[in-house]
Amino acid sequence: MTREAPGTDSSRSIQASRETAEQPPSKRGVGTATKRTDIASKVRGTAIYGSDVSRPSTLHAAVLRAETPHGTLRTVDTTAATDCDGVVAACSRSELRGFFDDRIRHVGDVIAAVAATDRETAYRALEEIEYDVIEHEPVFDAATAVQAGAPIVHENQPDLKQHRQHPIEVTNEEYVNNIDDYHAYQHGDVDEALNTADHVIERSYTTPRVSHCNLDTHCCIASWTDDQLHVETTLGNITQAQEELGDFLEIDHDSVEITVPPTPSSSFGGRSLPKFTFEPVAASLSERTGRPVRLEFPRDVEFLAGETRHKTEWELTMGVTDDGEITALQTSVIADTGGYPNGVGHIVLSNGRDRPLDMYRIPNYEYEGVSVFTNNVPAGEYRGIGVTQGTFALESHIDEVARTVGMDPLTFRSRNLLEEGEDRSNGRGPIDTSGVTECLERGQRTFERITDDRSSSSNELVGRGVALGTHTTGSGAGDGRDVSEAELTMRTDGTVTAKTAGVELGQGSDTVMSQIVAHEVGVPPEAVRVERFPASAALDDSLGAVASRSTYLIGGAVRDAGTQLSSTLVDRISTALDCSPADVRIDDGTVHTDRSTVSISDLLEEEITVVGRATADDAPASYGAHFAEVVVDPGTGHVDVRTFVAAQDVGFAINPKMVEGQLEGAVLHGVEFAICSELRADNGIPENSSLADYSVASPVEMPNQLECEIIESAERSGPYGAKGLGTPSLPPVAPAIGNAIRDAIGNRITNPPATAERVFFAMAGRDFDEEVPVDE
Amino acid sequence: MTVTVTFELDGESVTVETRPDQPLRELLRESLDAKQVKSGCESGRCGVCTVLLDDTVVKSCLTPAPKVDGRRVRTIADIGTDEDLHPVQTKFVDNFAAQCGYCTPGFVLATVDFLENTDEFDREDAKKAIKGNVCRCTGYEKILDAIETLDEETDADRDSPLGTE
Amino acid sequence: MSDQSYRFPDSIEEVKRILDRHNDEVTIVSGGQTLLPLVRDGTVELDHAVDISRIPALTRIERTAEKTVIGSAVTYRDILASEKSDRHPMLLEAIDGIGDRQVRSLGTIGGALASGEPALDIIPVLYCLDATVVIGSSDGTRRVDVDALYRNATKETELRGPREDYIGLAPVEIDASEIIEAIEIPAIDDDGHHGEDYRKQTNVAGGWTISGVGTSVSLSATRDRIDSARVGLAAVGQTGASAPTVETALEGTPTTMQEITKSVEQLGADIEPTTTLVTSQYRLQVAKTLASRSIAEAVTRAGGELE
Repeated sequence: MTREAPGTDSSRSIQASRETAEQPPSKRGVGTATKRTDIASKVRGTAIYGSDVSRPSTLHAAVLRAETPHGTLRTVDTTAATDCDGVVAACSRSELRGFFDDRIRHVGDVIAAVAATDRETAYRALEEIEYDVIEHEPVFDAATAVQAGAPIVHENQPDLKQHRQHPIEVTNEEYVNNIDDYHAYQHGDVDEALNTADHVIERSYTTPRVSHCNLDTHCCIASWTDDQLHVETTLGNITQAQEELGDFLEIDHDSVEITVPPTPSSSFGGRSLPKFTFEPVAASLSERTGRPVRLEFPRDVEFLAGETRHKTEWELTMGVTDDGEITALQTSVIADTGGYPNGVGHIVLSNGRDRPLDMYRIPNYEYEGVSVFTNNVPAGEYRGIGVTQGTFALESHIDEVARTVGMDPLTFRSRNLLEEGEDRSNGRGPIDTSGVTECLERGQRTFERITDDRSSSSNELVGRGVALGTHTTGSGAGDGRDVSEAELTMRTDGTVTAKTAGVELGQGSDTVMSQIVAHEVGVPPEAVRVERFPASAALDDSLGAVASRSTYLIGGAVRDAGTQLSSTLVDRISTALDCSPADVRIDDGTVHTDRSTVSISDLLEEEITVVGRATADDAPASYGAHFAEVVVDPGTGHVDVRTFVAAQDVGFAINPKMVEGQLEGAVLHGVEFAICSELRADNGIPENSSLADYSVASPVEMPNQLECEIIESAERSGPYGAKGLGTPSLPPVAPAIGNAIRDAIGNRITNPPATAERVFFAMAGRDFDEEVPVDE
Repeated sequence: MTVTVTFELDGESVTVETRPDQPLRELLRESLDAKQVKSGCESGRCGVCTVLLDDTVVKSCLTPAPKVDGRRVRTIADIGTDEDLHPVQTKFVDNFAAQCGYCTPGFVLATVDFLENTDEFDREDAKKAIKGNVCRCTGYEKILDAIETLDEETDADRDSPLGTE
Repeated sequence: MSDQSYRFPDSIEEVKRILDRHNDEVTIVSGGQTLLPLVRDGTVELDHAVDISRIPALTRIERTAEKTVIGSAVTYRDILASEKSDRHPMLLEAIDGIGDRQVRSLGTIGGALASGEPALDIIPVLYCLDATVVIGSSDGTRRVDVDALYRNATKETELRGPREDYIGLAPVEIDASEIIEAIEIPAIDDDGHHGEDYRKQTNVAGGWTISGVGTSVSLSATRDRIDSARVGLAAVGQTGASAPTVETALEGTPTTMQEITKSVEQLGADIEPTTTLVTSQYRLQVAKTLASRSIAEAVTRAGGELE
């Protein structure tokens, strides 16, 4: 993809503001706040989501879930359950299809499952199942679980057909048991650099286990036609999910077809890939009964089996010179995978390793990460996998380092930022487009404008903080293997159907695709119908709607198809009107030439179908600089985020209002991560597995004033200059707030969430305030 | 099912069997196929199951189903039409106040109730008015934008009260 | 009785007759806002419901020169909408912060009192307002102070048994044959020396109250001394609680921040903080902070000058 952004020349130009940018040709094409195409059904309540779908003759499933975190199932007797009126089948764990062994590995693991004519009957029948489990010593602390002698949850690197499995060589002698994944890397000479550094700052950080809390709970309907499995459920990464499910159930990839419900619902990574105790269980029951089977997670099971963000423990040691130059960074991370692997440990660890090098110049670097099986609930994908945790640790640490050196944290960061065109310290090529400097400058300007005239009362502690963050677009590899295709068909009535790999999870991808078609072809966006192409289509796509790739890669494919469609259409019209193609202008569905003005439908006699394709040869990094002002109540420790500015480089904002929406949503998830949410567990049993007890942010926890600054760096490889947004916008939020709290109370909460209680005791204790705080 | 209730659902009289311990949400979704009433947290926190009971906003997961006997229940289906959206819905559309949209019916209904019972308000009041509804996508900003613009709207429109059919 | 039933009695007398005969089987339903989560998680079996929300005598607010009488089935929403409550600003402020708009539409004071849920804000508020709870049965009517409902509770009620994992585990001293009919709040002798305040801290807005403190004070004629004080607490102890030691310490003291803080330091003698959601140590600290601020605000509202 090497097309230029509209209104920009081929050299990269950063648009200072939307108003001054040259308007694209169509009023409702790219770069405008086109209304969402799906919004009418949403405000009217007619949208049908996964949990609303019902299909004829469907059975309802209920799952008997373990209440003990670790054990071996000796016997499971489903006879009495099978005999219940209305029960069609009851399967013990070992009777389920796939790699279910006799081991229970977390509270909520599957013991047995029932399919019945209605849900209540299915749940009642669970009470009739008798089982006998031999309990084993559990292990809940990842750092303990990885050591010799720890209870074995899994053999190292078990093959459960999780994606991204790769050979590992563990060089750390202390890492012996329960290894899910391991990465070690270094460049330069860290020991030497630390020995000679003017300052060496070492500190540990812990990030909590948190849940997506998607409001629409997991729900799937599985059915078999001969040897073909069909699963209807909201999944973002459909291609990969089909492969994984096929592998897990030991059937061909081609024998699995996943479709999404009429309206998919929010994911934040919570619906990217199959879950061990979800789709395979419904598929097994459906195979057993020969009928469609519907399995829905009750809310508490969302916490037990819906997968969480990995809890992580970081140790960072940084060497710096007196004048604030980073000379070395040594990082070690232990991530808690929980009871089952899913390939995500790999992403946590590789993001932890690589992302700091997309941001800063770090000449000497040593990294070691291990993801570890424990008897906690399983961890999986959650917006900003690993990078949300790693950025919290790194940006908190940098704040401390800057204070130690006596530099303003913002100046310190600027001093060490990787510049555009500069090779990364790991030898990977240069960063092509980075709006990070613009993010810092404009973000700071806005932040100062808002906060300047603020006075504070003696009864409150005010603090300000900044953090940077970056994440790549797409799978991150940028090796050309990630592809997407789109098919556009223009009908003779002038409407266009776009078949793409997108899944409209609320992020607005359908609207973006219709804007791109409208822009390229010259039809109104509402004349474009966006559909997901079926698995059986001859169209290619690697990863679906994950990894912030929808606009970038799927949008790229749509744009490619759009230009083809436009050129074919113009050819046909010029032939019909007997004029030169150069004289044809199409706008808002109307054809203008020197001689006439007619609608497309008057001229088009045969429909046109084209296929476009985009390949990710790059994995452009998106940047954000976020600024927070907090007010801490010294009497209670309560933190109020008063002001927040999110300055985010998005490459190009195809729909600025929806970009804002993504940023504002990221701030919510970041505020929660910083000060609200944590799934607490006692002996592996979640203590707050309901939305009444698990704190999700309300409007009151959101910043009183929130400003989004959209920075456009015109990414060379993205459609119109666009790059990823959903993931990259989250990581800087929590550390910006954490740094502001540090500024306010003179002590750092290294284990978010910074609940009122933690802040209160941190104020009282001030136990590691060795360095003198710097006045900013 | 042991208790028979008759009530008005979105303008239609319905008679249906229920139980004392059945939440209204379950009755609406499962016996009356009212899938526009969403199911979320089942603990009274998230507000996606919000309905109007005699024009008063309630959470249907916290309402015993038999309680509605002889009363009037309005769901999102009775707010506006596809051709003629309710002013609250129009503002939600204009302000990009929905992303995945699962929470949207609840927010629209809470807002309708709030506006009908409030003369003047500011953004802080609006925050309090929707604190019984959870949204995971928007960060609430655009929802509050939508509600704030309704303040001006309602001032101008006092004579035609919101929410009438 | 059949397997299940849901009744709307027309009068208090009818409720009492039902309770007289079937008090072991029936559950009184008012708004259902505290009840339904308990039904859902299996704590309460709701097979025979007696819904009191349509009984005219229980859904009225009456005001006389001496007192305000709020029927036990009056919703929070209706109390807020009733101008009859304007002489109890503390009541309105506290109710405005209860749950959310939807919950206030159906939730009632009677339901809150009967549940005994110690995290409910209304209990300390009623205590500070010196409210009397009117409880009836076929044997007649009795009037008790709000805190007396919880002070000597020795038995589990039908509604709520002890549960270690739930924030509410309060036994309430109301017999299964009884029904809360009304809450009487005496009119304040408005000599201009009275002040009230309620404040709380929640984990998130609309979430559980971590600690709530209400205060009502009467100042001396010169407004520089506290004549009497009531301090009510939510979510700090096992039940709805008051702070008698702090109250005693406040009586007769000058209206200085120093004296208030000194009195509040004795809060630990009054409560055994629970460990739900936060540690007991933190809960006590927050209760002290809120108590100091609440007392100070009540004194200010009473026209006292804080030194």
